[in-house]
Amino acid sequence: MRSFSILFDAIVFGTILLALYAVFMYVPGERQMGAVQRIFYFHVPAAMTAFLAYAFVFIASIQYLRTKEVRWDMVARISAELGVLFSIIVLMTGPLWAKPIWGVYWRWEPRLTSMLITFTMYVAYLMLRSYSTSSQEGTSRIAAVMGIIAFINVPFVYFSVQLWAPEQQLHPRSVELEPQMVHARYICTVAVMIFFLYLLKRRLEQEKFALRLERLRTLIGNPS
Amino acid sequence: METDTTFPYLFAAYAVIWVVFFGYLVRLRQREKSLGHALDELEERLGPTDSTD
Repeated sequence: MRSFSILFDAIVFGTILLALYAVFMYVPGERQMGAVQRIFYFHVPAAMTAFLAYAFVFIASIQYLRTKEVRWDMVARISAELGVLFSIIVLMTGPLWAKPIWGVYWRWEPRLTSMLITFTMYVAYLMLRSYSTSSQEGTSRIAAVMGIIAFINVPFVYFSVQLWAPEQQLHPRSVELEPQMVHARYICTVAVMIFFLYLLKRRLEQEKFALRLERLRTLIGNPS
Repeated sequence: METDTTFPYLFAAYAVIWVVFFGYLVRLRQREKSLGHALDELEERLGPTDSTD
């Protein structure tokens, strides 16, 4: 188990280094946008990873409602937390890319707006979990329902460039990339997703440990 | 390497990425430490035990 953990750490570190090499050394400069286009290689994978995290929330929430097993509730909560983390990266790097290209940091166009709504729903999900005055089981049940409903937004974000009229869009419907850019995009997507799995694993271990500690406290009669 | 006017935006974006990730990792580490302290306290309450690790 320990050697697997070390191997996993090495893979995470190695893929991030490889991704940085691909972005800053391997990929040729984009002629029209210039240097700022290199934001793309972490901006898009961060968005894909946020969607993956929200899909985990969706599946784990269904599983929790089906089985009432605490582990599914734990996976849903941690995935939502990580989805929000990756969404913050998307929502902060996007405007920094937009400003020199579109001339504005933000515009209420379909993809930006739908992404912001999705982010807000998952922040609300986490707030519900933190501040709810219901019982633990009641909170988990309401959160699971919310985790399922919130996921409805994700396809809207993804397909927003097709669903709304082109004149309302700033995001392009399709992007033509040189082969090296495509390679870099794949490398970065894999690196960011592996990093997400690493964070998920670490947070799950923490939460399991905290749960065991809480049970031990109860057993020896120390509720502090 | 390009020398264009968009460089500050590229720098700012990657700075944001690192700050967000490192901030989260620091938070994880702090939580691990606090769990470790909680375990130490519990062990103290239980009295001296033989460490097998």
